[in-house]
Amino acid sequence: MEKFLFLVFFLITNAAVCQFSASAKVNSRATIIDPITINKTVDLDFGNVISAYNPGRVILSPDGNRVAYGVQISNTFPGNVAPAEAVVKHGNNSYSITLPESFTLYHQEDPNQVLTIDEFTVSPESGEIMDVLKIGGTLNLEANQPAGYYTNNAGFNVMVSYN
Amino acid sequence: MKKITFILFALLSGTAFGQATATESATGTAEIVKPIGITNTGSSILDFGKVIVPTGASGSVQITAAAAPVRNLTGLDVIGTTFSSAEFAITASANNNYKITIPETELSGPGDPMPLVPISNLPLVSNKGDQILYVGGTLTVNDGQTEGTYSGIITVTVEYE
Repeated sequence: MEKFLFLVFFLITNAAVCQFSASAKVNSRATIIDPITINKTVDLDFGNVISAYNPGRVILSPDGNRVAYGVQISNTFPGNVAPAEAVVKHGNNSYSITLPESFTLYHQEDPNQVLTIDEFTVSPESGEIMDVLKIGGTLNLEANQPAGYYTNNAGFNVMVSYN
Repeated sequence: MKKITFILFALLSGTAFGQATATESATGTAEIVKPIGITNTGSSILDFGKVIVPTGASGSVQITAAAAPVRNLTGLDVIGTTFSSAEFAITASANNNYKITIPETELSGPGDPMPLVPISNLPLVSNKGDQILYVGGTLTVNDGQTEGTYSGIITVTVEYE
């Protein structure tokens, strides 16, 4: 009888000290980021270029400098020379830039006459949450390229993507 | 006095006719059940990573409950590859049912709170003793959610049934 009572007592005391439930906590987090945006602020402009009897090209750097090969540029009458500019809002997150392979400009009065821009280059001026992209390129002229104003209102695309 | 005398007589006679000794055996059993416990192993955290704000409608990001979780996206995008599920070690006696409770919660930050529905790799009730519990979850991100870091606490409770 004593043993029985002891067992009953043991069961009662054991139940009293046994951990019936337990909890644990863990942190959870998420970082919310605004979508990346790009807004053009300046169009790409090679300025005035003097055509020649042979093909040539003009390289416009992102810093605005021009170098001509096979054709001439006038320092006296450069025209409006400007690398393209676009503002990228990135929130201090890394991103990639995709430039077009080439872009065609059409003579304003004769669309059969074209100029091709290729070898685009870009130089970002970095900020904490946004950058200013300056974009240059190479303008290719045929021999005896007809004079005139060449443009393409369709514009060329510069794509930015978060990495 | 007569009543008292009668009671004493009855007791004495009862003793006189009772057995001198008696033995009765009873079987005593005890099943020892170890205390149930749960701990967050290491410094694991349920991390949804970097989520880009959805535009036009809310979206969600889901982290599966696994050692090597998968991140599923609905109506939004993310950047980077950093994300993780939370890991817990449950200690319990085998063959004893215990229930696992993980209430819904939310992540708080600079904008509106974002609801978080936890996901577990284990059933709501288990009897398999010691186990590893992975906790993932589905986080709803509102259209136009304010940029910033959001955090919250997930509480996991295990209890014998």
